[in-house]
Amino acid sequence: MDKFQTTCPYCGTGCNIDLLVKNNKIVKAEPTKGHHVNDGELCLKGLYGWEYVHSPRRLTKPLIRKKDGVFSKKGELVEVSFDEAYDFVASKMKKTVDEYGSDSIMGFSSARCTNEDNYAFQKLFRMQGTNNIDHCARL
Amino acid sequence: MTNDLTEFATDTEVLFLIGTNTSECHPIIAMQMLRGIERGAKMIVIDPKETDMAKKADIYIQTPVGYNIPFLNALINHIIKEDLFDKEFVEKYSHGLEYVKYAVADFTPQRVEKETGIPASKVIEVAEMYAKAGTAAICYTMGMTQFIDGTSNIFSLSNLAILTGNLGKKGAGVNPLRGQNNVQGACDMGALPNVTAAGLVTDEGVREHIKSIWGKEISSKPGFALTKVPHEIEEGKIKFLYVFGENPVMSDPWTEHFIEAVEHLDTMVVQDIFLTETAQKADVVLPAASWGEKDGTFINTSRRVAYVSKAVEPATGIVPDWKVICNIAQRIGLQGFDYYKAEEIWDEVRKVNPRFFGGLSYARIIKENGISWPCPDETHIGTPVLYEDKKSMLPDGKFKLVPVIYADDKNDRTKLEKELINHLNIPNDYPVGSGALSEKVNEEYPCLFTTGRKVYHYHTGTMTRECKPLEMGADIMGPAIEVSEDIALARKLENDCYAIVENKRGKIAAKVKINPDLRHGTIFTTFHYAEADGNELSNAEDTDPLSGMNPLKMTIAAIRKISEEEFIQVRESTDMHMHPSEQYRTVRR
Repeated sequence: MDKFQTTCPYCGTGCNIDLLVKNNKIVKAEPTKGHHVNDGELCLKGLYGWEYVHSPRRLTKPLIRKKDGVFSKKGELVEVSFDEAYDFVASKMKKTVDEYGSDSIMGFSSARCTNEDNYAFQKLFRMQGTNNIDHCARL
Repeated sequence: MTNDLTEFATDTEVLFLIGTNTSECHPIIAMQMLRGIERGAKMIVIDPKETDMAKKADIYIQTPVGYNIPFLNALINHIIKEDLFDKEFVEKYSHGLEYVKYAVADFTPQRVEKETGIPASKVIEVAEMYAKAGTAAICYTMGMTQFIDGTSNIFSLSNLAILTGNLGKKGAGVNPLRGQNNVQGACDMGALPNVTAAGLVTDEGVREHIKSIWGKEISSKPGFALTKVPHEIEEGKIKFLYVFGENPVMSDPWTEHFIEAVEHLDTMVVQDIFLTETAQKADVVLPAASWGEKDGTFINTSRRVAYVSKAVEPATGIVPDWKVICNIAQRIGLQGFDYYKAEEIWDEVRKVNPRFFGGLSYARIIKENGISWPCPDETHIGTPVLYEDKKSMLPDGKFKLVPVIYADDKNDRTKLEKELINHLNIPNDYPVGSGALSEKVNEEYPCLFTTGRKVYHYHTGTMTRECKPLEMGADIMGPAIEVSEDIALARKLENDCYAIVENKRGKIAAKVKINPDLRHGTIFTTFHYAEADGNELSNAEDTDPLSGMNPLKMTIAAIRKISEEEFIQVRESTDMHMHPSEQYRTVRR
């Protein structure tokens, strides 16, 4: 079994957790002993809140709303390839900026994700000339 | 937080908790506080709900939802009147004592008693316990900020800390207990409409500095705040919305309005790990790696930068969020998104804000189990306590005492603020605050309605409801509408009967739980459950003029008992949620 020390993904306390991993599956979470923040203790969510990582309902393929095989607001979400999804988002974003200006795009970033994710996301918007970026800290 | 959360255990003499249900929402911080109490620390709790921490407190005050500024001003009034403030600290390190003195003059402990029934003697007891402590720590959460006067609430709290010299020392400070793992980090990274990782977008020096790293000029015009977005979409100003790692359909106030607004978008992209209630409304859904499947860093509530480790490989094709974002940026043709690993992004952040992060390499963060910013170089030990030199981050290095007044009618706030500014000759660039209630109970909606969390779940439940020991174990009872005893009595509600709570924005139906810990006239529920999400009713129309925050913690509502048939009908008509488990729905019925 492998052990990885990490930081809890729930509230802002920042408890450290040792994840025990077997065959690429998390099997147990233990509080990191002697850690400055949580000193060998964890709450219920820290101890048992990791199962979602392996949920069968996790998204594994991109989806685009389509009707009769083409994008349509009135369509249903259907699975597409990663290339198609990335190309589609990039072209829509570019087209919106070209047509309506930089401030017609808006991003909701995530207080649930890493610094690196958040930095990349705000850079994506600011590099296109807008400061229309906010996140769920308020909620 | 100005301070480190472990100081509650080791140094704080008086804990001042307001608008936080710490044991439910931050159990490990509560543990550190209880260690402090074992050591001999005293605790004051102020909240409309008599929480577990309130039951352990030396003094507990049950305020009405939203009644914060008159109460805090009364504390300040007593502290000034009785000369309990730290004269040396105030004189040497702050401005504005005269302004605050004037603003609190009418707010006596007796007025609080008259308006709420809270005995004046108890208000005085709180003021004296806080002011006389050697080190006192103020702790708060959204029970202070999610109001139309949230910013002014925090001005009042910082006034208390400045007046009593409770800044720049261990165990003291003004401490927002952050609700989400990386709120601090998302703000520090510049995921805000007016702030970049280097500072304000309106600051030319900041823009120059970013240009020197990105090779591109950024806009000087602040963007839209999240709370304005539904309106800006309806106005046709926002055409393309990209949401990642967030579930605004459930977490934003007034669900129905938000859903209606996003239908007007040309394109809505949602990037997430599940087909959330928000993703179901999207035009494009992009999957990404979750926690446990990617490396990176979070910054906790004590500004401590900590490492997040990859433990397992994600499914084929699934990459971290930053990589999805870079894939899109590169296809648009943007430069500067060719990062090979997360650490390269972090090293760019260190260049953008060397004052905070210069000394924080991945190697050091891992080796030292996290370090609090500012940490400008590799030899700096980090800063668990801010302001130890008694200097604020403002240009003149002084702390500002901010006068906060109160308006009986929310529409009078600007007028009253102007009168105060004119009367005292307050300079234009000096902050002034004001309080008011966003809504007042009336005949149609006679109850105060507020929301919060349960210890078993997290926010909109996207992750925790997919964990069986939480969803099917500890929390098998599911959503409940908690009511105070007087509400139950007047409407003949019993435990486990069905009820509907509604106001002009929306309605939810769930089983009733009579909660004697709630102040009279109060209804409480969570926003964990798509089948009964408190935010269906939340106020999205009013905002804090300074922060743009909606009053999510306060609205008005009516409640009535309903039959099981009506309950099922309401539930089916509002069903949108992503956890399709008939099993527990039947149990919970």
